[in-house]
Amino acid sequence: MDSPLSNPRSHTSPSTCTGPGETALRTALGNDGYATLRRHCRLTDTALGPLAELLWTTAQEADRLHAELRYYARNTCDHLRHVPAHANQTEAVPLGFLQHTSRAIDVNATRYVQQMNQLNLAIEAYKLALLAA
Amino acid sequence: MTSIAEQAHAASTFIQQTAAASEYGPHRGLDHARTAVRLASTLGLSLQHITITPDSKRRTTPGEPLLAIATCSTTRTQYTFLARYPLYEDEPFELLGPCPVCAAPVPLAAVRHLADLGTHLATGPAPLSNGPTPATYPDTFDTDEGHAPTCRYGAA
Ligand SMILES: [Zn+2]
Repeated sequence: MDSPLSNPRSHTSPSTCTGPGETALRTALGNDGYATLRRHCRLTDTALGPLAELLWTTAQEADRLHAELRYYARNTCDHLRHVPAHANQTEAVPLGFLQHTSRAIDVNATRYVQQMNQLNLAIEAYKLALLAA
Repeated sequence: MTSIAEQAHAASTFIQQTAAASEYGPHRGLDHARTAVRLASTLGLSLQHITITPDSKRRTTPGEPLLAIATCSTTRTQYTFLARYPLYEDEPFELLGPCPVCAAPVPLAAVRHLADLGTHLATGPAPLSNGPTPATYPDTFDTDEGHAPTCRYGAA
């Protein structure tokens, strides 16, 4: 019943390391271009503004999905490797949790791949707009 | 009185040590420790009054919900808070208490700071009618997995 994945949450990414979305932006635009993108996000009087904003949020969403995948990976490792001494039999093999998690990882991984494709399209559109500006 | 810097250092050390020593593993342990620090900060409590356990009843995406139990050092009253998405630290805690309909522990108030708890304790849960759920209840009340199977609220 719960499917926040289809209803993106507007959270700040909890991860402090650079995600693949931001890395893709820096690789495609260079560090100067990346700084310019941040500036363009604040433009409201040209078409470049909304496009830059779209590119930025697309990259952020990719990083958020990536952070969630990392979270699932770590959490699942702990579930499989560490069983608390006082755990009873049902807790020792948390099948329900692992089934829920594996479904969530499937959805999340699919969304992540889509998001990275979308990000590449948004980067191309932004680059074209830069040439035309 | 301990300085702010000393308290901050103690919180940071607590997180590292708790995560490393957790019987649930280092990553889940890290979530537990961060959640304890967040609740302690939210309520202005000492970390020794807070215990964290995984919530085996609720399933969330993303994550593994946690129950944080705060024990009052004066009255020994226990307050149970649900951290539904430990990965996202900007989410409020949900105070659990007996459902007015089925009496099972369910979210009765969203708590972002001490005053939210104060407001709830002063007013208690609003009476429920057959109409829409009163706005003082958190959005999660209606569909929470904690409701008894016979309750008219709970997961569909
Ligand atoms: Zn109920």
